[in-house]
Amino acid sequence: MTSYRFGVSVAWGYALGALLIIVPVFFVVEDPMSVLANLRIVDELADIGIVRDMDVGYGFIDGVPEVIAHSQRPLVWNLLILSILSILAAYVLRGVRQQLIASYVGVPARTPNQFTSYFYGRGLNLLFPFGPGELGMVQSLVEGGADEVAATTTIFYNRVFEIVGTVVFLLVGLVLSGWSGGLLPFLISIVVVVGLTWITRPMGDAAGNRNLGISLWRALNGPQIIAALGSAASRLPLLTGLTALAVLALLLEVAGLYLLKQAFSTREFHLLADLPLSAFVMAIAVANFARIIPFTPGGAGFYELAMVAVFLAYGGDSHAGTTVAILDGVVTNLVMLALFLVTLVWRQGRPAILETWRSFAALSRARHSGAPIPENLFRPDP
Amino acid sequence: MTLNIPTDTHVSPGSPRAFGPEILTSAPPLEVIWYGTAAIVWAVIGMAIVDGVVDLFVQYWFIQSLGFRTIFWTNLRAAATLYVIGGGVFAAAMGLPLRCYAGSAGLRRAALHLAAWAWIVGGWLAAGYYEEYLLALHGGVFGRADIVFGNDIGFYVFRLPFLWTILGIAWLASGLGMVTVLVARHDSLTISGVLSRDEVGPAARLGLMMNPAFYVLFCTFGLLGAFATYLTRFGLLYRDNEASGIRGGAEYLDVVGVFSTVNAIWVTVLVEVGITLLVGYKLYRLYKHYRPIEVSEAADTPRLLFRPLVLVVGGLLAVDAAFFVGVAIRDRVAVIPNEPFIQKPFIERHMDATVAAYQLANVQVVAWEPPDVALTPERLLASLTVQNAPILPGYSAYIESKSPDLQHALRYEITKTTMFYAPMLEVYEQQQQLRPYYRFIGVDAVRYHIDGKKKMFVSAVREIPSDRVVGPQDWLKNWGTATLLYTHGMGLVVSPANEVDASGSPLYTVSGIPPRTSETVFEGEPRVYYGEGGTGTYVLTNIRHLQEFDYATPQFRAEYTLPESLQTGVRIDSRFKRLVFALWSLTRSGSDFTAFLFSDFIDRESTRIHFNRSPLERASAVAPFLFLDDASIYAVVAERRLMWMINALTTTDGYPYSLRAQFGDKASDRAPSELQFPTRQINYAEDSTKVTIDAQTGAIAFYKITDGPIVDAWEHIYPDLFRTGSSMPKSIEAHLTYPLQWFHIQFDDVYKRYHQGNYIEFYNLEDLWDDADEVLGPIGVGLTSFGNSDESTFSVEGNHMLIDPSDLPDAGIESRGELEFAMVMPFTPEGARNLRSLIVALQDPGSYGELYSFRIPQGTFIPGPEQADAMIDADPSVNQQLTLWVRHGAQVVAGHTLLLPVHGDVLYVQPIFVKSTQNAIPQLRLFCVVYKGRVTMASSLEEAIRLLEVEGGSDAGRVVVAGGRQG
Repeated sequence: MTSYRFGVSVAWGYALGALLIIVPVFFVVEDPMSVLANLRIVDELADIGIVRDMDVGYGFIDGVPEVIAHSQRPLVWNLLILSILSILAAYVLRGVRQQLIASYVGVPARTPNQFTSYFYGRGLNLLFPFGPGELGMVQSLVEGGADEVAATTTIFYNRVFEIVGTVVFLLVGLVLSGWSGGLLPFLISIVVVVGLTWITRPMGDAAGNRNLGISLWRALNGPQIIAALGSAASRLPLLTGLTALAVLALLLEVAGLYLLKQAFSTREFHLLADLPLSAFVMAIAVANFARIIPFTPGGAGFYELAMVAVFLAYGGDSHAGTTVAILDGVVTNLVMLALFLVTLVWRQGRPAILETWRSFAALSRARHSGAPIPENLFRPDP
Repeated sequence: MTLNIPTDTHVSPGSPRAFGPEILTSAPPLEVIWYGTAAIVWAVIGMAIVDGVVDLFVQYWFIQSLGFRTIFWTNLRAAATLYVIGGGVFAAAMGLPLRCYAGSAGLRRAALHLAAWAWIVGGWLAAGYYEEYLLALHGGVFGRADIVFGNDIGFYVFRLPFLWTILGIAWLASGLGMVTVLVARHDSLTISGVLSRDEVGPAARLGLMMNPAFYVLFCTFGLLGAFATYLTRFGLLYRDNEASGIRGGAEYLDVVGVFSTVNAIWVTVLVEVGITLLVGYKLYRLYKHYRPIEVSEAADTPRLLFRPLVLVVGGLLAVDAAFFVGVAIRDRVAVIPNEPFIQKPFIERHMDATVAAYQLANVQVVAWEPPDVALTPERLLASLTVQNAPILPGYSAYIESKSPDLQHALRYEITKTTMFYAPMLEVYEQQQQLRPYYRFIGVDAVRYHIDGKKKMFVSAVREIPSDRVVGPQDWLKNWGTATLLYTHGMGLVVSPANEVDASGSPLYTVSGIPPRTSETVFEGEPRVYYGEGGTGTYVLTNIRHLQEFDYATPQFRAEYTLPESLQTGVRIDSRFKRLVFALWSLTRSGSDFTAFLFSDFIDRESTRIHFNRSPLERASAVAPFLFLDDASIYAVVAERRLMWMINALTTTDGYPYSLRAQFGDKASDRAPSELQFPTRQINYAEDSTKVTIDAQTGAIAFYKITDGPIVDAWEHIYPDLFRTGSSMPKSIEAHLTYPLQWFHIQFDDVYKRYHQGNYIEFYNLEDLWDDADEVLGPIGVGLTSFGNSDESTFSVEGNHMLIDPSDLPDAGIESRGELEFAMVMPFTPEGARNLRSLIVALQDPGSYGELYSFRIPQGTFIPGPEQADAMIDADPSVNQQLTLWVRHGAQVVAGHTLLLPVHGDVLYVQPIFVKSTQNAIPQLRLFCVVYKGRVTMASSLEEAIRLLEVEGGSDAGRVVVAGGRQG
């Protein structure tokens, strides 16, 4: 019974992610063909006969020459590569941050897996909904010989500094935008966070609480975050350094986003040309907030929608905004996937993905039924 | 057992606080996901409902302002009926099984939400078919029966589509019901623990889930599927049997003999019914068999055998497959080897139906054998057709966008525009735009009576278009400027189509701001609140504090307020309307929301909003069933008012045996893609309706100019919509034109093949035509690669010209005297470039709709337009002149090659426009004439014709070049 319900939940997570991407692109955006042209796909679709071309005489969807010509615009490969490197560096910095935190909480420096555990966890989050990655990170650290408490603490601190970095980044974006320009994106970010947390509120320890404020606070593990920050504040250089690392990682993501949109722009057709830099800062901040609670695999859908919402709030074009958001979602996920695969090869498949997933399912079922947390949660049987 | 991890312990000062597994994320319970999802879905539905209600109010006010309120209520009643019935069926299919059979209280509660969603979405989908519903109720008969099934054609056009809709709804609903029964039963059996018992195997699970309700739904589903298969036999009347020479309709194999397609359908229907009943009965037995397990704890039931069922079902399927194989074998053995003779009645049936459906039965075929002896220049110049030759084009041409022609993609890449030929538009923009905010969206070819004589003009409307049409502009940035100040355009610009001044620029009959003219026929109200440039936007008039901008004066500007007495626009006379329009504007521009709610400019006593401002938007908002010809929307002065005229047609794709074609899909477009009407698949149409729209008030009139089963049905549905053709004022009637898109589909898609009256000729494509091509557009300045290459040739579409009937070959209309305003289109044989036929459609009152095909006998060579262009291009003198211009940085634009019938002979005229680097205005600098194989060029048409000084073609091929201005 519980497995059946858990299975339905997971299926729902996948379906929601797919819906959140497909519905806006094909049913909300006025001209989805323009988005596909920006992504350089229409030309290929015409080549394989999906988009109709009267002279050739096949295809299912009417194309427009402007759109087909747009789709043939060249890509700036150098910028694309720089963008990928920038996003890669952002993830590597997060891995470094986790290693620093591990040292701080007392995981011995020689313990294996400290660096790669981050990529293992994020990779798992890419494959499955509801974020089994944190459990995977813990299992990975424990597998390397770390103490269980130290492992969970490390993972939680890393999450705390991700949130702290994003908040700082949001404030920076707000200041850059000015109060009038940044207010709407800021409100959007609040709505995104509140909305997401509300629909997934029992993911923290807020199950059953009907007070929205308390529910939100607990869902985000607010009391624990305050406690963790209080604890870290006793070592100010560490607090500052970790926050700086978090902000730097986000800055690299902004650079990646900006380079990416430049790579898909041409002199005549510039994607989101009129948007200020602060729009991209806010877009990354809000989109990362949307991904903190991983309701769908990799936060797919939420991430892109949040980003588009910010672009629109800054007066961006919906086609260009959707294009850039999809591109960023795809590239960041592909970079993460590559790191994940390298990690799996490097670590020779330990812990196994399915073992972690089973542990995650067991943890979820135990919480739903109020049962004790399973004994072998962090050391699953092979 | 829980892990014993301290969660709030400080190890020591400065050490990190430890956290246990409680901080790890986990999947939320299903209930939480459900409530979150339900909240999101209700939020989305709520927004959609608000949007829908707002749209409904706006539609009602709009249609009420035009005096067509009954149309709104007719549509609403029909849509509401379908909404209630269709939505109710879906809701029952979704909700009842869950409420009745689900075991968990949560799922039973969820059933209410799911049923409501199914009602809302299903009802919305069903309501979208309100036009089919209305036609099914009100459609009459065609008075013609199809020979295969004996039904009147009205059955196929009016009732069959709605029958499919009902069937689709019922079929989907029964399928949905089956799924929900399974979900509910699975839930119930899971809750009761039955499914987790060891003795319950797969067959028992299946049997227990499929209760009697499922059995009933399954049988309904299967029988409806069989009924759908039964209905597919009518699809034989539209089937593409091109391999047998029948491009729409049944062939011999389909309907004749025992092993025919129609009998194969019958066999399949019987097999489907048989399988449905057998499987349904087995499912029922399965349930009865395993039912004791559910009611009794320790029931141990024997296994039920499925093999007999599998054998019987397999046997039925084998019979179906065997019959299908029999049909295929018969096709190979008895039908294909005897084609086309065996298909004769079917090919003829298809040809007759297509010709009838595309209204081509009355095309008058006239043999055209041009004389061998050349006419003298004086005789040529005496021709009224030559004197009125439209050397200035009354149209703009764009690379086709509805079906992209990749041949011209390179042209687009270089020029960055889909517009490839629009010299008059460019001239007007340079000489008559006069202010930055004015634009001409397109030019029209029209005719007026001046001093009792018919004369052809090029005209254009000076508008202040929206950013949707012209892109972002500085003067459209602010809400106040765009919607309160720049509310209307100003008048027409008109030039004679057959004259230019000494510099090659057009003359002006109407020009300036405000428009000035010496001809009374052009006098009238010049303000343009409604026009093509208004696409996608609205304006507010009669506001507080501000008068509208009328036009610029040397001192400052003239201001204007729309007279109170004019019935136009929708009054914003209540707070509720302000709120509704504020919400409505959200889908257009976010910044308008607060403006509608709080702007002090809006005065409840007087302010009006004008929306649906373009002719296409306006006409389709009232009568969406009409196909509006976007290629022939034009503005004329009639009744002292500026009026937009639209050709509208009533169509169907359900006419048996007729060829299906894409309506609205020409080889090149006459309007930018933003202003095009969606294409539509048809196989029958009636040129039934002419729509007029007053450019100042937006008042709209639909004139029904012919009877026809479809337009009659719509008239029956909306008795207040149409006015009779006879009530059309003479001044409007004088401006009727034949629909260009209709002309195109009739001749370029159908007649070019279906003019072959004999079935053998048709089957073998012995006399297939093709639309003639011509070299058109720029051939200089970065576009050198287009000269003499495929990228520079375009199909010749229908073009207007004034023709003296006596210039045409003997068609019995020579004695009519007056010039005829005609639409002409030349055709060549397929794969060749010589002239084969000139199609002429007459458009004047009294002769409107008369169609002629003037045919050059097969075997007689008369050059086609592209060959005439090739002669001009190959001529050394012409070539030298063009090269000289291009080398000096000028852009040379090859004009439309006019095919002029002159005293039964063929004369080609190609105007050449030049845009110099200093002066970007296209100037008509050169006329090239091709006659009897001779090419001449001069700076005027008369000069060029006079250079054709030798009769009889004795020195054919000699090129004579005029002196005078040449660069």
